[in-house]
Amino acid sequence: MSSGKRRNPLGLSLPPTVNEQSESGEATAEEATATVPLEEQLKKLGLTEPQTQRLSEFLQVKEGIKELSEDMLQTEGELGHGNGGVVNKCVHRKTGVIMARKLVHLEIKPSVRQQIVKELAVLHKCNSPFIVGFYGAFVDNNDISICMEYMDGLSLDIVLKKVGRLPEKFVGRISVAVVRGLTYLKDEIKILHRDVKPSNMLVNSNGEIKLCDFGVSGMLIDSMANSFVGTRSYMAPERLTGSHYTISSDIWSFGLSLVELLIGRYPVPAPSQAEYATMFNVAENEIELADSLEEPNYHPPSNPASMAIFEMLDYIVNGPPPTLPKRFFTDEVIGFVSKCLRKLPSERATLKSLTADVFFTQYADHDDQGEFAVFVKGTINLPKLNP
Amino acid sequence: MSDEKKKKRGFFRYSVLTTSSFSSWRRSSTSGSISQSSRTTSKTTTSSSVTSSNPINAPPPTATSSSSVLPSTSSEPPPPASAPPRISIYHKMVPSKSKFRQCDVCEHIFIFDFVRKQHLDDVYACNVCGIRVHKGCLDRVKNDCKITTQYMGGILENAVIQSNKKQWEKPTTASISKSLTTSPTCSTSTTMSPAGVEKNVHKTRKLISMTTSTLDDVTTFNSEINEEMDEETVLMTWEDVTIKLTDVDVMTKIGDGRFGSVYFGGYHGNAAVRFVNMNYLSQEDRRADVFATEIVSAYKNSRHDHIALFYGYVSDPVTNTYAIVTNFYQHNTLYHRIHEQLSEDFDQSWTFQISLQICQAMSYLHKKKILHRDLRTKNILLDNPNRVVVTDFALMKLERLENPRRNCTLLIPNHWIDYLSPEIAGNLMIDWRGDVLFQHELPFSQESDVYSFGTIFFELLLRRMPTGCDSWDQKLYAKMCGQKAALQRLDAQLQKIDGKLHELLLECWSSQPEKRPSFQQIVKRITVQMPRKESNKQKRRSTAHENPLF
Repeated sequence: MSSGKRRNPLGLSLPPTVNEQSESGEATAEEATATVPLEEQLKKLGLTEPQTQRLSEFLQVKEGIKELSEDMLQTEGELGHGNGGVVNKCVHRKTGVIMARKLVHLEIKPSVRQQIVKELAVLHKCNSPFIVGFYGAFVDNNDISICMEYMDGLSLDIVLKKVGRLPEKFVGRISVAVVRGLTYLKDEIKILHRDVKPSNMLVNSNGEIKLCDFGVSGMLIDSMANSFVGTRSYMAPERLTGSHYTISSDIWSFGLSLVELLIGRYPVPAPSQAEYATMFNVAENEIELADSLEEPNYHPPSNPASMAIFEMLDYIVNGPPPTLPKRFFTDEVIGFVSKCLRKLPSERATLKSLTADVFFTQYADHDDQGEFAVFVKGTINLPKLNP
Repeated sequence: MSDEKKKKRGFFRYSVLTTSSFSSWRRSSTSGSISQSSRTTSKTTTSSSVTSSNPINAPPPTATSSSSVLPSTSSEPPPPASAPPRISIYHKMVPSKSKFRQCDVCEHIFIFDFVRKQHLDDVYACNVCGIRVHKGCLDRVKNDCKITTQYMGGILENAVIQSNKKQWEKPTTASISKSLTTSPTCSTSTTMSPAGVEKNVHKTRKLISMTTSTLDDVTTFNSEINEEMDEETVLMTWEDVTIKLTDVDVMTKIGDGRFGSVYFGGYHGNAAVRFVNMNYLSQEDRRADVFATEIVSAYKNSRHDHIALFYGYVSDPVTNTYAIVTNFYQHNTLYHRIHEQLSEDFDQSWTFQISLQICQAMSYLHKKKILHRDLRTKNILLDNPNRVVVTDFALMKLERLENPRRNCTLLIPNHWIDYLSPEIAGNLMIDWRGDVLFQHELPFSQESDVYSFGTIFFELLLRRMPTGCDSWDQKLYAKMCGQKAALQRLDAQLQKIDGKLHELLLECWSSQPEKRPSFQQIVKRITVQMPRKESNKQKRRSTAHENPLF
């Protein structure tokens, strides 16, 4: 791999669009840091008073942490694990600050490792109430540690395992946060998330919803790419067939995640009428699916109890996108997810059109009076459901 | 009285003439035997090399030759007394039309009626060694059909293979059916005069079915052969390759893997100790058995120049310690040489040489019915810069990838997807919760090993992995969609390769397993396409070999 890169002097390890944006983004960010003070940056984002206050508090705490190293952190327990590695709850010995530390084990050259840490430093410029806070990153032997803000509500995939399905009103709140987070990453940091899914959406007892694990370090993504196979794919169909990454790809992943949050199960293959009937405990003829046109010449996998990983990918490319049943969900949310899950990128919604959607605006323009915060607090101590 | 004298004188003259003709025919017969022996030698060359490269084996027993018959002039000497052969090798007797020959048992001359042009005696001859006997003398023929060292080597090898197979595998229906089919075939080849006595018919049929004309026939009766070779059999049992952990000097760790750790050690010299993690089997009492039947048996029967030399194994259920001990190979993996070493312009002949060695080793393993299952450049070690050995075969199982666990994620060896053939990748199964079904066995085969070699071949030719840093979803989808889709992004790279190599690579990577060549075929093709420099050397050697002056 290194030899190949050396023979590839242009360093095209990222798709051209992301690479270009990344380069120009860095220049813009440096320029911004030099000319615009922090207070004005926060003001520019149009945040609410509580958001501004909590962000300031975070930055103040972060400034108090002078040193980050293996010796400075005491592990208190495992929060979760995924394709990125293990995430542990840690305490900074000197300041007592609680962090989430992601541990990535990579057997790579020291030069590559240092480049990853350098790329991760971009995260210091990320100051948004919709992006998880970043304390810093360091290397210890073959392990890269990425220290982030601790979110006591954990990730949404864990919440799903506790409560089964999320109510539509909370999914609305989550939609607003995710769209604003993606917009911030694209407009301010000039990067694409590239891994939008429930396990990368974190919540806390303040009712905040934040994104994590976005594609800030192309080298890190490349180094990990050969070491795992997923059993769930949120990748857009055009990406599976070889197209380059665009914001449309993130929107597909976002739409798929919303359906999963609403019905409580990964929606590939798309649930049938019978499955929805069982899910909502009604007769099958009461289930009415929007856009019920079937894809021609496609035969769904015969045995739903088990399927090949490839069959799942094939379904995403050739099967119909998942839809929500009417009368069990509002027309607004059905329309919203439908816009996100068009098979063709050109027909798919954009971040701008999503922010103008009525489903988005009805939650964006109204405070929920801490209802979501109460919900998250309630899930913190819940055990996972048996299945 | 005078008439009697005249008759006697005439008979004597006739007898002298007959003897002279017989000597001439005998010389011709001997020449034929030499030719036959030569063919036999070339036929069993592979077996011979296998035998000679086996350090554990005792030298094969001395070949027993049939007793030679000396031509005699007038008197009838008693039959020569000889020790019974160690192994019974039956002659393959068929009717013969030999003229002016002598029976090898009773040594009476066969009588031929020149007027009617037919035998007055019924004569039988062995297809293999050429002895001729009267029909009535068949009962007294010794079971000492001519054999050679090469035959013995082949017989021994087959006996060992069958022995281990019988010991560790249940006989399949196909095998039984095959052996049943063989018997009628032998029977139908019998040709007997209608006037044959029933007793002799049975005798002859039995003799025909037990011959040395093909190794397969001998293999069919390997149990009998085994009884004759107690000394050789004992050497190939488990006792000789069993090692106590206390006898091994375990030193520094060389590397870690998903299957365990590799240590530098001492065992009558430098050795590599490969500790195999058997914890994927939750039932502890099964670990020792599975380790022996699935892993050690593969290593125990492997002796090849380009396969890591197996010294023995450690199996200690009490301490949950299982290890394979092999020779220590100083240099790094082939992966390191290709991808991680400072960029070095490889000689093309080096690429051919390494490819050839890998395929020769794999051809040998497949002949032994051993699948590698995890053929990749990280499992190929460099003994010196120009010589490789294949290692870590017979270890890969999907169950071994179960730990460590990750949510909705299967951790795999680096670049594993690139080496995985489509029919294997298509069998990675998940349940509705997104958990991998680890109990679902992956259908590894000889063809899937060939696919893996295709990727290695690509690495050797282009110094990079086929799919670079694409995400797993893209790699898996592209692989399953077929050769054309998977390779379209590689097209620019593949243009650099020579046409015939390009063709070979694509055949190894065929989406249809049956269209991939065998390693034996690949060996031939690579040998043919070796750079001219190598060809000249081979030609020179060949010429020297054929020159009668040497």
